[in-house]
Amino acid sequence: MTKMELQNTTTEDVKMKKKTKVLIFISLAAVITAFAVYQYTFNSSHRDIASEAAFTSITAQSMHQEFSSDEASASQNYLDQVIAITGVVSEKTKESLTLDNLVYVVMSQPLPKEIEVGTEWSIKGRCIGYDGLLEMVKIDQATTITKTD
Amino acid sequence: MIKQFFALLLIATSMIPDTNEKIIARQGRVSFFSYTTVENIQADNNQVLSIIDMEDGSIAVSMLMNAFVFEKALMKGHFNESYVESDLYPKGVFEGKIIDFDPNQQGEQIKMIEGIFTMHGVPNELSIKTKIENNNGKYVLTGTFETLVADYDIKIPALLSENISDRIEVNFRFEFQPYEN
Repeated sequence: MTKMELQNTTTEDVKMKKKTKVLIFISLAAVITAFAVYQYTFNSSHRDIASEAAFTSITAQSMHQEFSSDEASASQNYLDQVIAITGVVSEKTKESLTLDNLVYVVMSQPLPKEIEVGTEWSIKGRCIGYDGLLEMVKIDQATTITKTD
Repeated sequence: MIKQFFALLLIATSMIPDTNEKIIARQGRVSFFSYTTVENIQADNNQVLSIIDMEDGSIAVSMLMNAFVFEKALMKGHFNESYVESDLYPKGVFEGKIIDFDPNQQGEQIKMIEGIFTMHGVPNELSIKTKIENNNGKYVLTGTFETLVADYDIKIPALLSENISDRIEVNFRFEFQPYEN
């Protein structure tokens, strides 16, 4: 083996090492992306209604009016949307309240003490639909925003 | 003497439970279970409404499909968008009757409920066994039954047929209180 040949093989070796390094890097990147895509599609986190901005603001009365007059079109507008609703608290339990006897709201946390029957509040939550039995609009995962009177 | 008798009568009649009324459960729970070898899927709805008319034992249940909670967001998405199509059919409604319901019987009684459950726009006749516990006018109804996905015209894509059972177990629990209307 001449000196020249020896030199050649060492540079070949270095090249090979570089190639394997690149290959390892690419396959690692592929595995990481595959995992990320898998996580994104199969384990994506649930919606956080509390941190979402309200899509619209409306009074309990007019929202109920829309659902009772045309449930299908109101459903199209509001179903699964985050909405801010204003009304007078007509009933309350530990974790739910009713606005103007028209909108039934389930809170994501136990009801704050300040909320009293007869006072007006604006709450933010997700509209899950219209209940035909009691003729009430239903909201869940609600958080309070403000007292409005 | 007569006065005392009437007073006694009044007390006695006021102690007889008033059956001419309705009872309501606002936060009833309905759960769906699907067991397969690949995975188990559970969906819970804690906001199911039900009203029973004590006079004739008729019962109505109304559940909003959007209120079902799943372990994974993807499952919830598939459920609402592809299977029950909750934008088109936002609720499931049951209307039926508790056969031979005796509202005055304290403690436990096992009864059959017969009626029609409509979900995904498809009505199905159901006959469900329920345990009714009466604790001084607070009624708790619980039960379990199985139903077929195909009965409600719900199609599961071949790709996911391994993951979702074609037989769904349904559990329910309703706590009723007097309904003042």
